[in-house]
Amino acid sequence: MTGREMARLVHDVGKYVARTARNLPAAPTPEMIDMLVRDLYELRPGRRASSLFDELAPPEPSLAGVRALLSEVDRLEPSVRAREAAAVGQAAELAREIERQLRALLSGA
Amino acid sequence: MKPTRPKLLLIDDGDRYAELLHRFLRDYDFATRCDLAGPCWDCPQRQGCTLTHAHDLDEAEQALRRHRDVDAVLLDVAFDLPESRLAPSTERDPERRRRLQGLDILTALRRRRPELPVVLMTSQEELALEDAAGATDGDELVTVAGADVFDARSIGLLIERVLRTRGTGTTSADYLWGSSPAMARLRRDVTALARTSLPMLLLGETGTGKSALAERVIHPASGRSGPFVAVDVAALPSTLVAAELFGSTRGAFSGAVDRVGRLEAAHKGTLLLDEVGNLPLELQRMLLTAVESGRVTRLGESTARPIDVKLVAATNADLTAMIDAGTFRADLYARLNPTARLELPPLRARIADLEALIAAFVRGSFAAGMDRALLAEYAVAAGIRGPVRADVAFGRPPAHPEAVTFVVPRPSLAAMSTHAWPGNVRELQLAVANATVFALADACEAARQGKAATAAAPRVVPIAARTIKALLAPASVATSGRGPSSVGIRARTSLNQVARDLERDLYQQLFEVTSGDFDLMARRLLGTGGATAARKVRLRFNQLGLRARKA
Repeated sequence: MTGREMARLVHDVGKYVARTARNLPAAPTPEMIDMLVRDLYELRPGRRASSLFDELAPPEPSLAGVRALLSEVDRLEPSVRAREAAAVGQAAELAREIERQLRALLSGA
Repeated sequence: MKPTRPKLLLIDDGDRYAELLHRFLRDYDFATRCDLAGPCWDCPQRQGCTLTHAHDLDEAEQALRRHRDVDAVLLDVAFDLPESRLAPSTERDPERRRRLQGLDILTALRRRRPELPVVLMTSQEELALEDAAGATDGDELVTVAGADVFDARSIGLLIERVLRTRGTGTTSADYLWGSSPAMARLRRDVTALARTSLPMLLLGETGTGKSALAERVIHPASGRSGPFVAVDVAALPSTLVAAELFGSTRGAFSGAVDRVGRLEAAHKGTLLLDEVGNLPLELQRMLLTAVESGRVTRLGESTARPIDVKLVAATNADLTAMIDAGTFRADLYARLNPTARLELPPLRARIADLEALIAAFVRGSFAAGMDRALLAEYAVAAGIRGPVRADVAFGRPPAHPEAVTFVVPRPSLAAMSTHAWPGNVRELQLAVANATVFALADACEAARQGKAATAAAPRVVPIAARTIKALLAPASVATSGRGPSSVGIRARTSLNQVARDLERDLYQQLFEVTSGDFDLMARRLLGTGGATAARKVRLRFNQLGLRARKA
């Protein structure tokens, strides 16, 4: 995977998936949760973050961890959309970890 | 007056980052492309709104025309836009142009607003992958945000730091560099030399802004903890120059008192010696000794005191010709570091900066003092509520101005562009101050009579073309033998204060010459007489703190 491809993943997926997650307070407002939902499940119109990632990322073992995290985010979708506090917190943590891992891969690229 | 909160312009092809900033950075105003009053988070139409920021260069330029008071720009680097919307670039590959579009936008922004701080919303790693990591080298107003760009707290702290640097660093908010190549070179050299202990010699015609450069740029950029002290050598009687510069002890000469000299007063700080060419030869020797030894001896004392001073000398004289004529010491000239050749161009050589300078002067002159009081008076008369500030537009007035906007007719701007400006930036500042005050006085009068300056928009104040024409006419008043730059000696003299002093001198002299006849004064100053013109002149006379007692 080229550094440029990695940079694009960080820019198009990493930054945006963690946009709200990294700023979320302990008791987020409904509007903030709606922003989080858009980051995770509507990153592009009608597309989840995981779907965009699959389109941009080559099938490389180094990205397996990020893929797994995105799958876990997708699994939480109904609960996050229902604004269940535990699921919102967990999804936000996963999103932050996705960005962190992508940036680490970029640094090593 | 600037708004109490800094104003940011975001340039990003997407809308998500704007949403984040508006949600989490509420201590700032945002330059939007919307006509509704902000802030956006109170707006019922905010869902899905894309007017919150600029998506490309065109929109950024629109936003900057609409919001001249933007304090900082947040600029994305990668833009997923059709080719037709990309900024001009030397790069041919469309994909690379998109990935680095922010750098092309930055280049275009720098031509129009070179003084604006820009935060690039990317990391060095991302730039390095595009071989563009050095693209912003040498532009001290660009900050790369790094990985924390989406962390609202981090970006807030970063913006605070950027704004602080702007306010106190080499690019103080009220020094306008403009976009001419000569000023760009000067800025680079001044920035580099300000941080050193080397003396600096500022050359340039009268009124080009040498003192302002020393006070607002060089001294803050030097990082020195001491004061800025300015001495206008031309304004001092030759008998007093030595005592002023070097200090004295009681009894050193007839009438001498214990006094700290300016060199000592500037210890750990910056000393501006304006009109250094006027320094008498004997004192040139004393100054050279002080500069070389780093010690100064007060008149009447034998003990030398150590000084640590950043010396900035300024002159509009040809010092090399003075050396040839034997009136300036070659060794002192050499000690002033003339090889750096810091020359401020005359206004006619940087006329492309005219609009930006006018805008800066309008905003600055109504930010405080008596002009500000007049603006507030107008706001009351015109029924404008809330905080009020001043701005300027050229040609067509803005549809929904946030500030009281002075409108300069395009033909007047053209006339100003071809004017010789022998008094340079100082002359322009005076012309702008007079034009806006007269326009505001007219608008005040109209508002009190129940007529807004323009019926549809009380925040729009037109400046009459005839007013500018009169102000550009050659002045017929003889000035005193001291010359236009002779405004006395004081620490921390600002260009504003110099301009105000000059204007005050002019009004005072006219008042004396005309025996207090305001109608006659108006004819001399504005080229027109009558009750309204006389009232304008009297108003300005009072604003300058002068008293109307018969000469």
